[in-house]
Amino acid sequence: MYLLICDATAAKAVQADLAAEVEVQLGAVVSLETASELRTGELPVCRDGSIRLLHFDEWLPALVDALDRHSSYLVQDGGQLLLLVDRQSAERILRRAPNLRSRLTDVFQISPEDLSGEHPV
Amino acid sequence: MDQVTMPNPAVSDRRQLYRPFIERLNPLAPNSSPIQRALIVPREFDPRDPKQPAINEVFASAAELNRGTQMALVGGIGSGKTTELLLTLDRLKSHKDAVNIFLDAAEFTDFLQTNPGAMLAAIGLRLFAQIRKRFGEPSDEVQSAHAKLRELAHGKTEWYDEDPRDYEGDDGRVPVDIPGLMKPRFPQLTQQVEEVSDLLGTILLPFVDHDSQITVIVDGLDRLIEPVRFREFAEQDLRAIRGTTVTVIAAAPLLLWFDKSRFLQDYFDLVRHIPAAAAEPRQSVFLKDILRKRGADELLSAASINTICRFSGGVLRDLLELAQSAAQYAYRDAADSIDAAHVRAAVRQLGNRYLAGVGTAQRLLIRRLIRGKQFSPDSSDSRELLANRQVLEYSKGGRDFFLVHPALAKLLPEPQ
Repeated sequence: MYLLICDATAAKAVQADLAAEVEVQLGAVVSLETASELRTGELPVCRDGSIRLLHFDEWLPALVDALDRHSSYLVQDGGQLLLLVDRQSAERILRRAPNLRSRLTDVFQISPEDLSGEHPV
Repeated sequence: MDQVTMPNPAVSDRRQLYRPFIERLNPLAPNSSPIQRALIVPREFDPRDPKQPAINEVFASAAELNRGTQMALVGGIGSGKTTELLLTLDRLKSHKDAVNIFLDAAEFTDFLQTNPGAMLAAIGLRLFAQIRKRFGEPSDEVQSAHAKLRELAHGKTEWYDEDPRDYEGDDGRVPVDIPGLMKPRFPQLTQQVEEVSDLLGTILLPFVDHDSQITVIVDGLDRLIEPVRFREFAEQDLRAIRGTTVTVIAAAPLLLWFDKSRFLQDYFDLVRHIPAAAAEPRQSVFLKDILRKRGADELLSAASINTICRFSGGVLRDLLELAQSAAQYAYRDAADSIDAAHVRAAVRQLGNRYLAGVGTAQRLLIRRLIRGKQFSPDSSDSRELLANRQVLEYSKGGRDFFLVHPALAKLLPEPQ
């Protein structure tokens, strides 16, 4: 489970680039989701090696709380969950969601030109 | 002409070298899985007091001898609470007639709102499922209670001509509650909790008739970080089963340990606290055993194992994660073993994760603590640092103290 930080204006481009990169490198399809469209009770649980990218397009504290309290169930059996957020939301998530934070593999700054994830925050 | 590339046998061997190690270290794997269970290194004593028996031993014997006891296990994120609860469950399972229920809070609440009575309902439904197997066909009374409980738990749709939730009386008057002067020690049970509690009491009848030993272990309530949310559960659901022979053991959030109201000690019959694993993680045999049981000796030098133990701060989840991420660095480096540079990179990664999102006021608190100044979990900033494990609580020789997580401290400049 990764927290990827990017400028809000670049989010769409990052999503497209990441999806294309994962398809080329891993032959896998990334399921793209938008936080504001996520229905309550439908948390992005990743099972069986599935990869889901959840873009926080707005600040949704109730969703962050739900992710935090279900953090131990979000990623199972080799699944990958990528949370794409702007810097301000990232800071709020990290402060508000300690359970989620403790289960993050890493936190990266990411831009459309550089998907290497070589820039830890 | 295109070059034909042959697979490098060394690379595929290397994959076999790291994959089993990394899989055994997976800190995200559910530790209820048999593979993870086999890797558990039980603590031999209470982490706060080496002269006291292990927490799981204390909890299990209390459940066996004092039915109806309510116990709380408090500890920070990744401190090993679930493992301790599973070990308690294993001990209780040694009695074939014992009725044990392991509940995760996610089974009965979506956490978005407090839903008093939900945990009681979950307990009732799980107990009912065991009646037929243990005692044969349940009585009509018990079956009827179960049917009502199911309705309350899962909801139903009823059709009315008018909205029954019209609070106005016939004469248009509206009721207003005026609180009395005498405050009860704990708030009254809600009507719904009382209703569920009565139904649960009926479902319990066959167990009471057979003098059963029932223990309910509730994990995950500690994910309700704010003490007030946990209290709401305890004051309603747990209190409703006080006086029955049902024993409850619940994981509680760390911040309650530091809560000035002393609710934990006031409400629960028995409370145990798991601090960060060791005051001196570098010297901890327990931490090293955890890594060695997962095969660390095959890939890491003794010095690197020491470094991982030290920078884990004694947080078990961080210990596993550091070893795992060091192994991933080594694999990506095409190295046949994990060297000091890979461990350093893993420590930096963990430290960066702890540093992310730390505000100015919190940096100030962290720097003060690094300089040896006092740290008190009274302010919201300091409580947040504790909940997020940027500051760890330790216990040694009966003395509690705080330290900045060593992986985070490593990233910050030395104090002047």
